[in-house]
This record gives sequence, C-alpha cells and structure tokens, in this order.
Amino acid sequence: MATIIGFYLLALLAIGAGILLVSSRNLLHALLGLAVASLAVAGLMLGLRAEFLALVLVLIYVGAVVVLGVFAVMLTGHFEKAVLPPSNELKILGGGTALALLVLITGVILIQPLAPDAVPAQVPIQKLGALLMTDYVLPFELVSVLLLAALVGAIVIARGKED
Amino acid sequence: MRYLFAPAELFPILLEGLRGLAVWAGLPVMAGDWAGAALVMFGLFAFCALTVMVLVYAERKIAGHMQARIGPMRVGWHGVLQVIADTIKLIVKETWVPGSADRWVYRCAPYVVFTAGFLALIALPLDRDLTPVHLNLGLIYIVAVGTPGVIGILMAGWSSGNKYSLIGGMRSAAQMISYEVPLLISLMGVVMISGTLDLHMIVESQRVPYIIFQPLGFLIFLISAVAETNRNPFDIPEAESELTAGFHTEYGGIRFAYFFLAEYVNMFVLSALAATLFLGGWQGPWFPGWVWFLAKTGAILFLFIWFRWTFPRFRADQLMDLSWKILTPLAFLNLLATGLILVLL
Repeated sequence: MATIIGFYLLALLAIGAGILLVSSRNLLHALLGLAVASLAVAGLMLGLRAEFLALVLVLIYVGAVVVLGVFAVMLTGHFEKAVLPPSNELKILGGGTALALLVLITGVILIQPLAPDAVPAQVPIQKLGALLMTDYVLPFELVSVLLLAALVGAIVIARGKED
Repeated sequence: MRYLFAPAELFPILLEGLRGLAVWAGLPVMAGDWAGAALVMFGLFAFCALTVMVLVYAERKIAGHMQARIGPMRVGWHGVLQVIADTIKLIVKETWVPGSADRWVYRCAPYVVFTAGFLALIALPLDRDLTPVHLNLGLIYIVAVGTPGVIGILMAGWSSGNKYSLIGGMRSAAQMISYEVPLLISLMGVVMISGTLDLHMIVESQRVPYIIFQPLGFLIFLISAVAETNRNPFDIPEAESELTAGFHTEYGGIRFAYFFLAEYVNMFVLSALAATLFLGGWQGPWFPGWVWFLAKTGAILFLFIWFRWTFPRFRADQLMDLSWKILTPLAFLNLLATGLILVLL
C-alpha cells in the first residue's frame, strides 16, 4: 500500500517536473525541473530496488548534467534574461520526433507486455562492473568517445573565434 | 522498505514499542516503522544542530587563540552560550526577499543546500552497531546525495538578482565540481583495497588504518574536501574583499542560518568520511567505538579549522590549476599504483 502511494506521488512529481522542464520559458527553471524529475525517477528506481542505478542517476543527472546545463546557460551571457522564445523553426521536426518516440515506446509495450509479477533482479555491482569490462566493453568505450567529442565541441564553442 | 532502513541496529526496543503502540491504536504495524523513521530523522537533526553549535564555538575559540585573542567570553562561561545567542538572533530576525529576486528559487535554495549535506549524515557508521541507516552502497550514497548542493548554491547565486551573488555562486559551483573529480578518484583506492562500497565493511576490513596504504589518497582527499566546503584557503567564492559574501550575500535570518548550518554539516560529513575511510572509523582499543569515531572526526575537523586560520587565500586561476593540473593527475597515479600493487601482490 505504502509502496503504491509512494509510486504515484513520485510519478506525479516526475511528470509535473517534466512538464515544467518543457514548458517553462525560463531556462534555469527548466533545468531545475530536470533536476526534480531526475530525483523523482531515482526515487521510483529505489522502489524497484535498483539502488545502484538510482544513485548513479542522481550523481550524473543532478550532479553533472544539470550543473553543466546551468553553466552553459550562464556562459551564453544571457543569464539575466535566459528566456526562450515560445517556439522556433524546428517545431515540426521536434514534435514529429517526440510523437514517433511515443508511438515506438507504446508499440513496444503493447507488443511485449511486461510480466505482471516480475521480480526485479538484485544485480550486485561486482557483476555490473565485470560485465562492463567484458561483454559490453565496446559500447562502453564508444560512449566514452562520444563524451570526449562533446567535451571537445564544448571547448571549441566556449573559446569562440581565434583572433 | 526494510532494505533502506534497518532500525533494528539502532532502536530495537523503541521500535517494538512504537509498533505495539500502532497496533494498540488500530493502525497497521507499518505506522510504527514510519514513526521510528521519523524519530531517527528528528534525532539526527538534533545531533546535526548540536554538532554545528560545538563546531562554531570551537572555530571561534581556536581562531581567537591562533590570533592571540581570546575569542567569545561574554555570554556564559568562557562564551559557551554565544552560539545559542547567535542562533536566537538569526531565528527571530525578519526574513525578506530582495525585489529583483526570483522568489521561489530564492526561497528554496538554502533548504536544498542543507538537505544535501544532512542526507549524507544518515549513512555514516558511528559505531559497530550504530548506523542510522545501513546501506550496501553507503559510499556512493554519500557522494550522490551531496551533489544537489551545487545546484542549491547556483540557485542561490542566480536567484538573488545581484551580481556579487551570481559571481560568487558561479565560482563556488566551478570550484566544487572541479574538486569533486580528485575527491572521488582518491576514494577509489580505498574501495579497491577493501573491495566494497559498504562503509561498515570498509571499517571492519581495516586491521591497519588505510592511511598507511593510501597516504597520497588521504592527502588528496583532505585538500579536495577543504575545497569542496569552500573554506579558506579555497574561499574565493566568499572572498569578503571582492564579493561581499558570495552566493549568500542577499540572505539573512533563518535562511542564512541554513547556509551556515550546511557549511558545517558538510565539513562534518567529509571529516567523518575521512575518518571512516582512512583512519579506521570506530575501530580502536579501550574506548567504545563512537568515542573513537568522534575523536578521529574531531581531529580532522581541527585540521580544517587550523588551515582556515593559517593559510592565505588562493587566486582563482591557481585554484583551478591545483585541481586539474596537480591533484587530478596525482589521484589517477595513485589509482594506477594501487591497482598495480593489488594485482602484483
């Protein structure tokens, strides 16, 4: 009972914060929405006994992504009026992508329904670490290359043009 | 939620009593557990407030004697009631919001910063059988719950609508995320030797304190911890002569008190973490475990205070150089050496 109440409270919080994230025209409020949504989702993961995943989510999304987001907004130099226009020229493409993703996820859930009494597996982190270093070492390294590219890109943008 | 909250270690009798009371009142047994959890949180808050008061008094007294003054003397015996007088003043002071502030963000920021520090407190092993909440992933938990503190500081700096606050907040956040890197990597050496993230197991596995095997790791942790708490010699974010009071310039009264509380709670958590990971935690002869825990934590807290009143302040660029060019490579080197020794031995 308490688990169900907790689930609905956290789910409502996550959805509310998500709506704030996409609808707020103040960039910093949007980022705070992302932080709250991540915390709520981490809470949901705790309810599913995925403790490691929950902590890593907080560590990375709240600790890194949101903080870097705030820095990015402030580095643009418009932090005092960090206000977004209500829409832009990519609205059709963006809306289409979101819609396609929604259809895809709904389709997957409808085709492959989740087992109603599935027991969440308690994966020890030793096992997780071993898997990351053996079976999934290639995707793991690819992700790190992607992050490196993002890092270099950020430095290039932040430095601006050489005089 | 038994896996999150194991009160049997702390209040077995009290919990049974609360459960009995819940059944007697016609409520589910779980109500007793929840009351127990609430009680633990309340107790921790009291512990936290008390610790901070002792720390503030100690800091003022030690600072006084280091500067050939005598520190607070007027309120109570040798000024012991000074902190209580200050607390009452802060609580009864009018709180207000600057006109240019972003109201909600401004109001929430101190509580975000405080909660981030306070939540870490619940996973610290205070004694052999005394951990408020025993977690398998205690170390990651402490590191993870502390991270929203940076956001709280950015919220405060930005929402105040004041350029000193904004620059102070930016500097604090930049410093905290820079020093988090060497801090976390320096912890990994201990994790590799003990082979666990459970703080209890880490303490129990220390026949010899890990500072013997990880002297470099301890040094990096200590320096990064001082920087993480934005204290001198790393207190550029609050440099009085250039930024008034940094991110909390516009705060007063109880909201300022929460920032103050958060600074000292963070200091306590990081000192306790250093004592747990490198100095053997509650282990020690003759005295009960919690005495050893508090003594070791106190020794590191004294170091924090000693640093503050003896070192001059770094410049902003020196600060970043120290983190990225010296501490981070050294921390990686330490990690590599630890790994090599573990594999070869």
